Amino acid sequence: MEKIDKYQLISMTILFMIGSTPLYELGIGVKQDAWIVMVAGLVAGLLLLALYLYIQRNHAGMDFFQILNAHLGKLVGTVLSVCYVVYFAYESMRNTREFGDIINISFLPNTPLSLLMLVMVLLSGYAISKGVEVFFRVAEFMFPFTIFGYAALFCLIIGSNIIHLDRLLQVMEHGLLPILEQAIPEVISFPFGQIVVFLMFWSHLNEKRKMVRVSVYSYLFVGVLLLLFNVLNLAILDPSITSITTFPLLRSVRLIQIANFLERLDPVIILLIYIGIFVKMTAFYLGAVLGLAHLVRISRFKLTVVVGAAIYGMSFLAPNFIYHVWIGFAQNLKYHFPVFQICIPALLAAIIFCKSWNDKKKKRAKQPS
Amino acid sequence: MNRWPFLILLLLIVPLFVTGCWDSKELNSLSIISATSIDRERDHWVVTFQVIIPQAIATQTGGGGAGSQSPTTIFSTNGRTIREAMQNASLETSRMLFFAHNSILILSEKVAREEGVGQILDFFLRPFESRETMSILLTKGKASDLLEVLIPLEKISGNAVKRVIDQSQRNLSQVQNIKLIDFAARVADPNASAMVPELQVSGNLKGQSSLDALKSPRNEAVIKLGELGVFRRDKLVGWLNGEESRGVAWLSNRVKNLIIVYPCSAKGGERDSLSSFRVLKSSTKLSSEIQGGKVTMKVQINARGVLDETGCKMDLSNPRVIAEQQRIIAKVINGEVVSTWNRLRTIETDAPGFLDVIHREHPDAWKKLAQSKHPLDEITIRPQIRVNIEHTDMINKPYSTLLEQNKRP
Repeated sequence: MEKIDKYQLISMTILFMIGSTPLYELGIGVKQDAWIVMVAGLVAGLLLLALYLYIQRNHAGMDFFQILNAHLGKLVGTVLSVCYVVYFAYESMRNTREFGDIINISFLPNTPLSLLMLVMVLLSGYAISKGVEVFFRVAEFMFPFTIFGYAALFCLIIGSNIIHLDRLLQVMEHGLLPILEQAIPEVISFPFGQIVVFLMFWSHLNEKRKMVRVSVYSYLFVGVLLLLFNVLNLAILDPSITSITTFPLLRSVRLIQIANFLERLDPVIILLIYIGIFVKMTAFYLGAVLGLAHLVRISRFKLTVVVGAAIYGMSFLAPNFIYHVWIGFAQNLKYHFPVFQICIPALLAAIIFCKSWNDKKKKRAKQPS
Repeated sequence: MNRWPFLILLLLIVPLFVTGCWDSKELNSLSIISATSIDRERDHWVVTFQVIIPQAIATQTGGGGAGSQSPTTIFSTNGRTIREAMQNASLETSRMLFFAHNSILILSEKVAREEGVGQILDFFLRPFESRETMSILLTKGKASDLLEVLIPLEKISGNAVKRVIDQSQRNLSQVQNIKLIDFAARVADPNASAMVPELQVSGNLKGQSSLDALKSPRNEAVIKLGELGVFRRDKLVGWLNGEESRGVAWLSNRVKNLIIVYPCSAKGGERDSLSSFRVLKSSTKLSSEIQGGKVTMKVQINARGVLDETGCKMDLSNPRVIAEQQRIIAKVINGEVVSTWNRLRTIETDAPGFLDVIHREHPDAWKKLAQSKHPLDEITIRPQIRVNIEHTDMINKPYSTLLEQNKRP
């Protein structure tokens, strides 16, 4: 079995969670309180993470599909496995299409979308065909550059004096309710709930005892980072402009002007976003490949090609970017993703809890005799 | 297993994908725009571009010298939408218009008053090449005229104007450089009004738009910053003159460097000698108070600076005299602030963002005000001004006292 160490897991968790999230202003529906939505999503996501970790801790060495099969029986287990393979592939495709369109909108308007996405899928497929270990090492390698990049952007933003914190006032003008409505389930499903795919990877960790601590700390770190950029967008662009902008962070970064020569840094942010997107789409892609390996017995390479082709094919489903975003944010996040991120894992955890409780009772019943 | 043929094939194929051929832009096929202006003629937008001629800038060193070629060229196009007007530009240029270096956008008063800036902002916030950091300016006449004026010392007048704004903002707080992105945010804010500086030509425009103009030391015409245009939502509603734009700067805590001219004594008339006080540091705090349904805006201004010039005869080393001077300066500032506020009330624009402050501090009172037809009429201001003359620079007694001593013998 392939092994990963805790540093690789930290890097992977953080890069995965960063993904393309900083680019969007989550929770902008409540204007200047968007960052509170983010906090609410962060806390709720932490509960979800605890749920996933609980499932994993009771089954060291087993991945998600094995756990599903062990507890729900062969038939239900197989059906759910197929569903999860589709879900993972779909999430991967969402990132692929998204980045293709970002590039089309921002840098290369005339380059065919099909080619941009093909390059991305080939790159991810190549990483996956090398195996879990290699992919995690790639994340470990890219981690310092990414963090340095975001830190540098942060410093430059501070340096160009474009932050107006007064734009965040007035806090919670309309109370807490609209904020919670925004946070649940949308902000949970994207990005925090996506960490469900780590149920496929945690079993590879070599130091099992560190799993919970490492995951929670990385999660909190990335949560604070996302929150920071969420606040920055509001303070730089004003909630009004943020709410009409397709990619708020891209616009914020374009405002950086230092000493008349450090400006127009948009390529930097696109590069950083691509690292996040690459990690996220590859992780989901890998999740789908590993899942499918339990269902059909063909070589890893063939699986990679099959799933890659499926992802590439699916990415043409949406006729345009507007539809793609609408399907994602207005439909998937509300109705579809919560099933995979919340309902099924919660059900599974409940079953595990009942079983272990039963076992304990049996043990206790046996002891006196 | 022989991998080499496969690898070499891959190496040959991959570069085909990463050339970016679809979006190649060669420098010599671009015409770089340095300034844009927008006018309105009947139902058409008239967009005028100032395009840099690279050869004209490259061949000479040092600024200001008159070459054989104008450093910029101008063309106007029109269309039903702004984009259509730009599209029509390609009918007359040999190169593709490149927008990313556009540094100023000039709107004519007519556009801002009648059409509003909504569609203009939409257009300039949308395409990727357009920069949110360009400066917005207004002009009372035809906006395209301003692009024709050649500016001494500078090659590209678009960039020059930007530098004029930057420079005067630093040295004279009544001028404010407003970037496209901040302008858009101010226009969208229901509790505040946007303000945009005016750019004007004074003198003989025709003379200054020919290359010969740069050959003589005295300019036929100059471009300069003038009044301050104030908006209500997306429409221009009025102009503030120099004194009023200073008042707005005081009210909105933007004063960093400003000269205040004041008379020697509080009762001093027009013919009295005058002195100058240079503000070095200033802060304005706004806070609202509600009493019996009436809203009072407390404006606390704290200005520190130095005495820069005086024609008065007085003993400046005496703290009492200085205190008296401080009182007079405070009175002058007070006058500016109050008259500005009265003017803002008549044109009904909330340039300093008072409603924003009330919204933050007293949401209930704000709700009432927001429903009222003339919310500003229900606000009274109470300025509290503190002035501190920190020193009198290199001389501590006015020079004119020497003249008096000399008279006696």
